[in-house]
Amino acid sequence: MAEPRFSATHLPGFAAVAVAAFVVLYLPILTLVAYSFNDTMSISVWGGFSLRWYEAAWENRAVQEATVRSLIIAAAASVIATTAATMAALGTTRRRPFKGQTFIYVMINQPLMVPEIVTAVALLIFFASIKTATGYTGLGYLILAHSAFCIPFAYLPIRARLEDGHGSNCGGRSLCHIPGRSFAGSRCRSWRRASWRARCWPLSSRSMTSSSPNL
Amino acid sequence: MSGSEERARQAEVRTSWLLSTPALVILVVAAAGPLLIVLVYSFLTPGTYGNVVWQPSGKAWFNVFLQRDIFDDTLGWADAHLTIVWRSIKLSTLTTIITFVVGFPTAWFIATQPPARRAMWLFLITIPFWTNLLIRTFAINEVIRNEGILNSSLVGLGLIDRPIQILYTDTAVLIGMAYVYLPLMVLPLFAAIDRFDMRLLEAGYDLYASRWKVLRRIILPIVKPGIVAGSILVFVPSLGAYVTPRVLGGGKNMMIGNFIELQFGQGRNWPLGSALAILLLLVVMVALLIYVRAANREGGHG
Amino acid sequence: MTETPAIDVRGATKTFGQGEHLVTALDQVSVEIRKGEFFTLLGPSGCGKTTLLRLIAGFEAPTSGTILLNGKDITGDPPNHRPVNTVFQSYALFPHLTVAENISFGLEMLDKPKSECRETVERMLALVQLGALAGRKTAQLSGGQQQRVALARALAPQPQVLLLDEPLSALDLKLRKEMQSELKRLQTETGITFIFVTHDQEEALTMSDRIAVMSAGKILQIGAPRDIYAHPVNRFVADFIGETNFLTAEIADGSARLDGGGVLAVPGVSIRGRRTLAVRPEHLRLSAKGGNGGLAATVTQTVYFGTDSHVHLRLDDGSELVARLQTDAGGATGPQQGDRVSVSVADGAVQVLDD
Repeated sequence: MAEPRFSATHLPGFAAVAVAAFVVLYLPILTLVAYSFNDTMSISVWGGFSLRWYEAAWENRAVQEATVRSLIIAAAASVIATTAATMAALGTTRRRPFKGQTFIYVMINQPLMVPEIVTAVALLIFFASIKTATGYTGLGYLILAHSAFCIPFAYLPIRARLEDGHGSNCGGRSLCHIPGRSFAGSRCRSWRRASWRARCWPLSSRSMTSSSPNL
Repeated sequence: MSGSEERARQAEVRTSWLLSTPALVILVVAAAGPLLIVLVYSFLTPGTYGNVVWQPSGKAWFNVFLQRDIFDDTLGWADAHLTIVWRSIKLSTLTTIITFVVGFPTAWFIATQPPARRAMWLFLITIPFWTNLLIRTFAINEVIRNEGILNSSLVGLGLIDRPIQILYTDTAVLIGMAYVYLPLMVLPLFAAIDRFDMRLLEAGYDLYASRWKVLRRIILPIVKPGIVAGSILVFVPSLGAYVTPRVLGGGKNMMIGNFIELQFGQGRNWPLGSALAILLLLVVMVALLIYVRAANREGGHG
Repeated sequence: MTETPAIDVRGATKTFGQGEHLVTALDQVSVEIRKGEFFTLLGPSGCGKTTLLRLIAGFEAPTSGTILLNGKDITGDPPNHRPVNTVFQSYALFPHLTVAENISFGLEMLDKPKSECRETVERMLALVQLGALAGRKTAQLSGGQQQRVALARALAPQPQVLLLDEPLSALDLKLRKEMQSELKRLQTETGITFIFVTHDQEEALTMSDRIAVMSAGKILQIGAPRDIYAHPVNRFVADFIGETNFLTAEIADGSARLDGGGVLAVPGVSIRGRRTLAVRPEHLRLSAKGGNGGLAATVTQTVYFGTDSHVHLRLDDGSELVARLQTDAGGATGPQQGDRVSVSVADGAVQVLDD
């Protein structure tokens, strides 16, 4: 028996794999969310609905401090990175090619290509030296590091918009318009990721991870 | 070219540089500069309590690949390092393959949905992507650990007697990396499939191709740039992965990222760590170069 | 005719959507297409001609009705199981393959031996005169060359029927004329049944053995180009094919009394009542005012086309007509704007339409 309706775009089993992928993608996250409302300490035994962990987190000094710190770093890094990236985008789009343009482009996108651990190690060495030399121990290190890391994430979508000349090219397209640049746009989440890293660091026992934004 | 035109052009270029300066300064100070310092550190001597002694040495690079036997002083391969490098490459390659096998049908599915629903599915793929890596890693940790959902369901269904030990194995690292990097594969694949001219499918079927032949002879060759892009986007961060192997692989199943970190922690061998970091960077650059080459070749006649 | 038709469409209906969004693309269409003929589906866009072609190709399944190929029911067969090939409007050439690889694609899918593929590709390249470009990627070709590749690719597997979906619409005028005769030549040389979809009536008239004129999901008339041109069944067909003057008249006893008062002879017409008459512009004769019993008219405009001129006329009752006059060898200027003329119609040139 032939198929009653022929569809050229149909590929057998693809929809099943896709749906399975979405389930697998969401199940672990949703489980984690569900168990945040669990009354017991366990993540495998359900002890009834409760907001006690939210209360605990709310009242925890370390969490409070970390949250404030995260917000400060995220806000500062966002402002700095977006400002610098917008200026750079204005300076490099819709212009005749000039000597050094490639240099600017490579420099700005360089954080995207370097593995996180390498960036982390580099910043550790660098900041450790500054710390030894100056004795400074504030949030400046993290703000500077995150600003640098966020610049390409701000630069690429802004540049894409400027080149398009109009704002209609949003949503999925700007996320992944060109394969090579795609991830750049979609990794704009960096400020968010940055804030999470910052949140994690006071809880870390290792001095190394605490001074490195990428761990 | 007239003199005034020339001056205008120079002014334009100067403006370009001026506007780019703030970004460049931040990046030189906090990204490119530190990388150069890493390169310098890889040629120095380790300090006793971490950090370095400013004394030039090629020992770190030597130790990346080779080692002297403690007893007879013969030269041999640094097996421990090579094992870690090999595991990193193996796991990253497998991660890339798994994400492709799962990601391609997913991207195809999204791209062939009606436009209104397509945006929703695309959004669903990007949400986990926006969720913090650490959280996603812990989430998958909860699923695969011995008392986790997977094992308790399998035991509950009577399919297995005892929980399968997945956590702290290479398999766990593999599952975790495939899980966290899947969206990085799906998005460029989607972009490529979205550009794919679906009318070519009808041409293929019209010319007697089966579903499988259409996939292999028409779809895959044409969306190849997307496949290459997705593979690079998954392979590069997999190779440098640090969080996922640490949480899911435990202390034993190290990848390069963990091993580099170790040199700056307990290992107290900053030059070796620096050399390994530079090595990792070089591997990634080579991979990216291959990608750019492939992308340019594809784009040449398209 | 007792021969089995190459394609036999029986009562095919195709609807898209459902409920209030239901669109009927094809409504109870039946047509027999003979072996080896050049058959054209002609109609304006949205008339269902492409849908009918896609049903025959197998890209769409009919909502009801059956399709037979050489007497065998193929309604449920997927396109890759039908010995029917298509030349797509967009050509749909494979961009990652060369010209030769494109042409041999179908043969490879049919698991033909390598040597046969090579030979056929050579033959096809010669047939469409593209031998020099065999190794090129298709994106490097001009529109006309791409068109030839699409043709060669579809002809290579030697299909029972070749479907052509407005294949010439993307070409400029000169190239289109060239390809028209080229297509006709290919059809004659290969002897394959061609089903050609177009909205261009001139293209249909010059190339086809038979034409089916379609509108709103139905076939209005099937016939040889001459029949359809000379004897259109209704106003739509008359209007769509060529240029036509329409007049309304009361018909009785072999003559038609126009609303404006004139009378035209319609010999052999037995029907009575109010009907539309169609008269082709080239069948109108003009003579100086005062001729025998013609319709009195005033020339409102004349347009010179070289081989002929169009003379726009207004009858005394206000209705408009266009007459086409052959250019006189002597270079006579013919009627001028404002002239009063008498219009008569060549014998048998008045068509009484069904609606």
